[in-house]
Amino acid sequence: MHDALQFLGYFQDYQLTWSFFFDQLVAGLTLGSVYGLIAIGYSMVYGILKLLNFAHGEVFMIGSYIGYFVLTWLGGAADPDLPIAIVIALMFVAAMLGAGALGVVIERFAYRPLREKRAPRIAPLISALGVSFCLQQLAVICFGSVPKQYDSFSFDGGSLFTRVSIGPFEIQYMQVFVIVVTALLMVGLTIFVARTQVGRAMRATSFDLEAASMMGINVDRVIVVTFLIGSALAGAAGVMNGLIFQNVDPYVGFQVGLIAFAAAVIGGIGSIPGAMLGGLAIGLGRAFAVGYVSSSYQDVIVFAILIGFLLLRPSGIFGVPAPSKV
Amino acid sequence: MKKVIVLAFAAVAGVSAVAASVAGADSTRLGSTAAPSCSQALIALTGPYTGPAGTAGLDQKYWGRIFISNWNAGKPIPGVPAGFKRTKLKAIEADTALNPQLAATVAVQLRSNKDLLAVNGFSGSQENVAGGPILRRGGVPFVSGSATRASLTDPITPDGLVLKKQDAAGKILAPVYFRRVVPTDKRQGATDAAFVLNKLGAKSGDRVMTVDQAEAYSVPLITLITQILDKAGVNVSRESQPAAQTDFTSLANKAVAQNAKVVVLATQVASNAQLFFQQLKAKGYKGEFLATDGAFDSSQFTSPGAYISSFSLDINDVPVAKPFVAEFTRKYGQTISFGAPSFVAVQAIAMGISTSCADGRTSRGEVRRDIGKVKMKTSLLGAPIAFDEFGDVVGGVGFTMFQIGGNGSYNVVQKG
Repeated sequence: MHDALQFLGYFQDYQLTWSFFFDQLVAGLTLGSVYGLIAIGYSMVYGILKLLNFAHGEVFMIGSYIGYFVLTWLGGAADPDLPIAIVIALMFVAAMLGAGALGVVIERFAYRPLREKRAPRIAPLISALGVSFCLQQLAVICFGSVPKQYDSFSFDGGSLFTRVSIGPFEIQYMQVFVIVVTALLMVGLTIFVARTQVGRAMRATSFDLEAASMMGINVDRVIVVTFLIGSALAGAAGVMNGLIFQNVDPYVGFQVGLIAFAAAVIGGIGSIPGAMLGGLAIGLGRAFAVGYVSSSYQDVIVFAILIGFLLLRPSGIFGVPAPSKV
Repeated sequence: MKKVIVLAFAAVAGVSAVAASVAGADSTRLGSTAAPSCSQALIALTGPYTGPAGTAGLDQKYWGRIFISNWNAGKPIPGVPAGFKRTKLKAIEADTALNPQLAATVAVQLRSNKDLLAVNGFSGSQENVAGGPILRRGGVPFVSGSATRASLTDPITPDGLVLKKQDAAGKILAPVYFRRVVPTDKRQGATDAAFVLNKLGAKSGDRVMTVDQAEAYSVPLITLITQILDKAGVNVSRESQPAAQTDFTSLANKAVAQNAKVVVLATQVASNAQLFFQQLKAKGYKGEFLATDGAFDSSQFTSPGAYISSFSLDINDVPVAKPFVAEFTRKYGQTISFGAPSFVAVQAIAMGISTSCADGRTSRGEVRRDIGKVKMKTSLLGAPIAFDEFGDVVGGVGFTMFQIGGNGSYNVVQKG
């Protein structure tokens, strides 16, 4: 196989090694984990409200800022006042609480009034875009537009980015951390949705909001919980993004948010595992496009493949085709 | 009660929007219909005061302000002859956020202000490509302290054709509106490539990775560096990653797997240079790393061992600049040196306006013409400044190569 690929004259020796493949795989999984966690928020909200919450990217951005400020408050990465594990745990807790609260506030003041007035579906969409730009500009005013650096490479002399060997492969502790934390959050969310009363109410509301309401489910409460969880996950993604990619600025949410939205659509919007898979697909697509084709065309390659996939399966990986009523 | 809450939220959102627009606006109106004045001439300072290059943009703005305060106060300024009759200046400040669309919008606003005589800017090459033709159509001369894209002043390329016309024999038919006080990327590309070959030791057969950020500044610069290295027999891996995408892990994997001897990144976002270098090191990269002038920001790009090229000297080391650096430090804190050429760009505008005001009247056309005649025997940069027929600087300083020290300091390793 190796010789056959080399015979084609396209691939170079290093590209045909398992270690390079593994490096790109891990890079894609790490990036995809961040996209996936954000995509879950888009998907959950859409699943219940049929609303594209374009402010979700900015919730991610605020979560990342909260993580940065907690880190700074605790002495910074180079010389933290507390053990690193506690500092990082506090960053996650604060970012998830702060982002979750922000999500609830956005729902309460920007979306619910429109829902109560039975506004056409385009109205909340515009409201979401408005909230997105408001949060972006507020961040510029409050935090400045120059990127803030987590400087996480300074944690314990850079030990978090030390490579650990797994057989012939190498992976950084930080990459392991991001992938494992994402997996744990996914497992926790899946159990919550599948096994708890609130989770069942969420599924019922997602299936049919009006029927759920008539069955005695407090739909408003379910929606608040949905925003709380989706936004908290975005906050966690914000901290992960800062820890591994260092920078946070007021504009980071828009770009990442759009990609996460694409991930949610690819996974089948409304589906939680689909959103995560969509995020991983985009992350892996980018990493392999850079590694094996060309960094210049990474987005073209990834999105061309995804468009092709959606043409074959318009409802996404786990999406359910909408029944046509006659 | 609900209505009150909704109204309160709307009020907060409204105040935020107003505050945001005020934060990006200026003390002087952008639009006006009055005629230019020689008693106090109006110019515009533009730059990326917000966004990823905000630190560099603010440095430019502050250096522009330092010039205007010294000029208006009649204080000695390098390159201004004793007894030179000065026309006092007032300035509009406009943020372009390193965004071509915003630069075009700002250009429209500035062009419509009949008081306005000239513009300092635009900072980014992509901003000049977008906003330059708009200023030209309004007859507004503009002088940049940082745009290095070679084709901005090259009449045989698309950018040049947008900005001026030329006949088949090469004679300039239309007046030159755009000028700059910094050398072009032809010079930077040649300097950087020579540095990679001669100082960083890349030889024929070695692998070098060159990376652009998919915009108008970095693509031609990296193309030029790649061409020179190719000709020298170096095995160049040309890569590209948009500036907004801040994950370089896959590229870092590739550089390590290729056993690249040098990685060259052209970027206008200093924090991207910092992140890429850190991710390379985390992957075990042993080679050298060189970033171009857009990353020149000692507050954001601080990784020891990395190299960086810049059109500006370390302004702290220029003897004639010392009193100005002291004033800058007193008013705005430490300079990162990136904005120092903007002082000189505003000076060229000021001298052009003053010359055109010799008869008590002026116009944009006269200012455009007289900026072209400006000749500074010396300048804040410690070198003479004049312009050629295309608007490029004659004299000035070349590209200096720095290496980042253990404390994040920028140390000169090769003078320009």
